[in-house]
Amino acid sequence: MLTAGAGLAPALSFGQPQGIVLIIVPILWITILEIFAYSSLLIYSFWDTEYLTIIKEFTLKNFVKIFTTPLYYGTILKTVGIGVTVSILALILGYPVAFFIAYRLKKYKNLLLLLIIMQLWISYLVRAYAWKIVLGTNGVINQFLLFIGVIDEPLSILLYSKFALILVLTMAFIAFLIIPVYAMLEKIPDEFLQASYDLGAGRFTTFWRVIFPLTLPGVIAGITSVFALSVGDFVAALLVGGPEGIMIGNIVWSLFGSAFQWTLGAANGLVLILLVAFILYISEKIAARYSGMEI
Amino acid sequence: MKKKGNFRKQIVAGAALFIGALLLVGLFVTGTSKAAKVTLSALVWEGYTDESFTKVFLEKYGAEVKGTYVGGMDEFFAKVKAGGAASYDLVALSSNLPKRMIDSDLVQPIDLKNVPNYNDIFEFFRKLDYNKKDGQVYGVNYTWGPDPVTYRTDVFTSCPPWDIFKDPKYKGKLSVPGEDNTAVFQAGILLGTDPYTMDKAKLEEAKKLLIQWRPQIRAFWSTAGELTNLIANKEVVASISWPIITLDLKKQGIPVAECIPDPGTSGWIDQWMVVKGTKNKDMAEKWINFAISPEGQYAVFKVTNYFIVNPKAAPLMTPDEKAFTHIDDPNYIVEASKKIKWWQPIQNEGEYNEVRQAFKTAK
Repeated sequence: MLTAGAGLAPALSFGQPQGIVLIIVPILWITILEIFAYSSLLIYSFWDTEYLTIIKEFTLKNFVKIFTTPLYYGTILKTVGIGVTVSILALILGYPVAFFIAYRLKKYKNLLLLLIIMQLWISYLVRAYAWKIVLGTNGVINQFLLFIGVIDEPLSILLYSKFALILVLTMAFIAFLIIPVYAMLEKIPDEFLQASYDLGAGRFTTFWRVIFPLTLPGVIAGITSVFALSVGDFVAALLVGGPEGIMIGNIVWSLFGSAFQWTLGAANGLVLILLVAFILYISEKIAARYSGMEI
Repeated sequence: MKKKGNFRKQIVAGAALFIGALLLVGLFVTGTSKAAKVTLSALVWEGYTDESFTKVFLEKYGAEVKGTYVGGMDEFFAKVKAGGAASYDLVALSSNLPKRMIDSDLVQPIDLKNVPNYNDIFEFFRKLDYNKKDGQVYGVNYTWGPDPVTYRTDVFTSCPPWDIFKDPKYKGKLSVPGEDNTAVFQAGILLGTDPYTMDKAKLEEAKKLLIQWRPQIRAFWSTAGELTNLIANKEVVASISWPIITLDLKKQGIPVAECIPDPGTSGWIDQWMVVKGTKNKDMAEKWINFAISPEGQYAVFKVTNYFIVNPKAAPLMTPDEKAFTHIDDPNYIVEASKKIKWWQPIQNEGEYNEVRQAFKTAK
């Protein structure tokens, strides 16, 4: 470990050609993919569209429209609500998995971790389609429930609903929570737990006062990823969301389509980005205060 | 020791780079030797570049036609506007878009000398003016059809009326397209107004009607394949659809039929257009000529079940197919026009889009 680190250090200095290559790639990456993309989004959101032309004059029209039309502000709020729900669910379902792998497994630890990472190798689209097969009217769950006689006719709530959307998003992104939490759990020295028990704390107190606060950076990292990924998604909404599950991503998509409302689409995107950034900022502040450490 | 390790790393990295470069060059060489043949890229509705006939074109003219299917009407304009001739040589789109493509300078006039079959298509289509400008032809018509209602015959014994969309009996059992404005047009037709020139007040009425439809909608579909699955899996028992969907379902043995409930429906006339700036204009025009040849027309009919424009395809058809397409009757399209409102360009597309989204997101 140490020698590898030492071997890398000289390569990072600017004097050497590899150093320059190393620094150019991220700079290009950031310039083209981040600065250029976001600044054009910003500029477009303050322009206006008329039939087929984009009028390049400053206007706040798009933002006024977003904050006065329920279609836009309502869907943005709904999308954020879905993102929050998905993040909380991912935490509730993902944390125990990470805990189980870190503390309860020895032999199959790596296998299980591999299985969790492996699902990310499969295209997200394929996984969403797989859920259609599981949840559909003639799907696995309905067939099973019909077979054991719990229901008389297939449940339609399972697919093309908000339920399906939240389920698919949670399962799609839960690995982004399990992995950082697991990494944090692994880092906690056994002596800490021993000390806690020696001082008379029970299992629950040890978890709540020692383990959980120490994993908080991992929890925050995980929640942030899951939240950001699900808020920006529109594929799951298109495939399994049905009429209830339309997200702001779907609306932005169609604004950029035949409606040719690029400017309004850009403004919607910008509002969402700012809102998400604000929520993440607040949540990190709260978490930092709660855990008593800077993140 | 450290230095030596570094040196070795660099050798390995250098070797890896070298092999990578070789692979790239290799790819490039094989890529260009393939590209010596012309490849036409087309952005089209599903089925319009089916392998069953692009294969024939490749054999005859040595050009490959690669089609990208759109997931909805929205994609044509956005993709050609963004990609232009660098991405596509040809587009095959519906009657609402040619004017917009021409106005935005995204397509170019077609040289009819290279499309001799044009003279064989029904006069009705040659007389249309929405795909022409300054006496020049920008779009060559290819197929046409209604947006019918496809329904499961194990649920409906005969053509269901439009009222089923308002009927709570079919709660969560119906579908409409979600990625274009077909449902808004249909609302306009049911309100007895021109569905393509609705103003704000009319659109508001249309929205009210659609919101009554909303509880019955199980899912909004975007591709033909998706609606086919919805109906095949009994998620949905009736939907505004396309003839290709009914055909696919019948091929799967699903009990379905399609019809046009009174007072009518929207419909489309599709055409091929050549993207401005393409390097393959001649070959693109050869393709269009092939597409409207009797052979090309019959082939696309077999794949999509859409109505076709060239009556000379009749001898290739079985009596049933002839009867279905009314290919021998130049007046049929004129009659159909009374019940089908052809998709038209819309001036206030943004407002239409808003009604559609409000319908989709209504509670």
